[in-house]
Amino acid sequence: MIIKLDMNSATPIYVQLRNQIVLAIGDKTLNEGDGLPTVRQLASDIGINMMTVNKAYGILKNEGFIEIDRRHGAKVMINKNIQHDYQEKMESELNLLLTEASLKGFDTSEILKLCQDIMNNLNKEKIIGEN
Amino acid sequence: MFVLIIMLFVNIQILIAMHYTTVSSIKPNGNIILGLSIPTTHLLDERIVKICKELKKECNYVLLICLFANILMLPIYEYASFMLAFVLIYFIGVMGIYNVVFNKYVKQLKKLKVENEWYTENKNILSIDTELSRMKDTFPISRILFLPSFMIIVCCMFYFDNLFLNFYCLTIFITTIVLYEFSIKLRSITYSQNSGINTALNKAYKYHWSKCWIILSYSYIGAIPMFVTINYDYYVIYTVISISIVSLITVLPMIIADSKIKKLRSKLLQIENEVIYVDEDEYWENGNYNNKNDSRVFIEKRVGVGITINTATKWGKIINGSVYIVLVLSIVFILSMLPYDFGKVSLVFNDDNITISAPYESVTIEFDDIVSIDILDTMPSAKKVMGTGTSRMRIGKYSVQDYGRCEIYIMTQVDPCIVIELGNEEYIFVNGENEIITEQYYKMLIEN
Repeated sequence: MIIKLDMNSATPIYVQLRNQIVLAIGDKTLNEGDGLPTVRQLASDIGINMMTVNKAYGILKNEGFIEIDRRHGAKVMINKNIQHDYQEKMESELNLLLTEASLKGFDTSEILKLCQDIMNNLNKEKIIGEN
Repeated sequence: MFVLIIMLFVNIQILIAMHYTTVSSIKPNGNIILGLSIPTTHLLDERIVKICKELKKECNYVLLICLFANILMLPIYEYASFMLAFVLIYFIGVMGIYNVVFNKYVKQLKKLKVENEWYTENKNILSIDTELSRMKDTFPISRILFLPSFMIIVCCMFYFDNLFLNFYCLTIFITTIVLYEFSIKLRSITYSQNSGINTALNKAYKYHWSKCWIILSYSYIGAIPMFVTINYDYYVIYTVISISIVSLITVLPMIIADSKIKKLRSKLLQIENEVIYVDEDEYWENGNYNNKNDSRVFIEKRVGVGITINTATKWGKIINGSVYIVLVLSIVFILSMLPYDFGKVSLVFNDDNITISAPYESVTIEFDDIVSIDILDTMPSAKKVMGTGTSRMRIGKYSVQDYGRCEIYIMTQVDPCIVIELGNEEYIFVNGENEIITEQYYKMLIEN
């Protein structure tokens, strides 16, 4: 997978890194069992401190997207047992996002259509990836 | 005259290296031309082609002028300090002139780029191929191949027992290991959306450069004849041969590695549809990289062969500063050579001893310690052990034919020399600034 980081963005590097890996797992660019570089390898290629990569990997591990092996780096491993925690997180983030969308003038049907499109797109990529 | 040939050889090497580096910048390396990133669709724009042609033409004029500038060495070739100063000034001058010419055309291209808004879309976007990052440690050739080189050095230490040779071999060995380590730790570059292309190009880079540094770790072998045969009679010939061999061994693997990498890069990127180009021009100024958001100390050069430093990092600043320290030390060294060009060897006679005085050296000999005194028509062949040897004088410890290790204080261009034998088969060779004074010294020694 190709990770693209905007070095001038206000979004911290570890957040960009985490988001891109999650999106890659979502669109099946990364599949379960696929390897990721070690913290040292990724940090030296990006030219950042190892702590930054460690932080991103730590978040991904806690969220149940990857497993970290000290010898072989990280591996994509989706843990579906932490659904309850995630549901709380999703609710809180959706709450903020939908409030913002509503204030910007989006109505319910527009938001639902957008959600439907994104989910359809994800499912389509999932089927392509599985085939 | 041989010194003149050696210096001419050094100067021509500097000149060719600078000329090749500057002229090679007109050949696109990915989307980089004259050290600037230009969208690939515009690389063949006739205005860019014209700028490149003019740069090449001006570089050819500079080459001719700098080549003829070597004539200035003719009146000074007998003075070691002046010759060294000339080489230093020549080195700085050639670099300066080529930089001025290069920057002139870079400015023109930069102006053209701004006017036409030729910016590549991925400005400040860093692309990382995770598959490439995972594999990168397997690309270089193993460092275990340095081991035979080290073993040869150990053998040389025991076999030749030559301090300068040991120092030279170890310097080459350590330098190549350091460069190897820096080369293999360079950041992987994501050229395309295709991981196969990225892997092939990065593998080629690390493979060829690691191979190059391993080969160069053996380059000291070419210089062994020079150190082993520092005999005055053949010294210069061996030096010229050794410098030629070492230069070829040093430059060839680097040029081969660089050209193989660039050839493969242009071949693969030409057929690739999803090439990723990044515009990082704002971090490049006069061929130097300065990016405080990048923690890497070494990065691949945009113009020329090899790697350059990130001057925004702590180590980058230290390395940059050390270049100026080396420059100052070179000037101090050249100034310290002046007494060898304008000083002389002289004998001062006291009541019961004599003092031989020469630049930076003086020795007092009691008359009672002298066993015998002799005068020779010519100085026997001598191999330097420790000291100085210029075309004007030789001072220090030398291994002299038929006499063994001796102290010598000799004006090279004066033929006769006095041999003073001390106890325990110790000999001192000395003469004056001309033949008459030498004979006078001999007579005075006999009388005392």
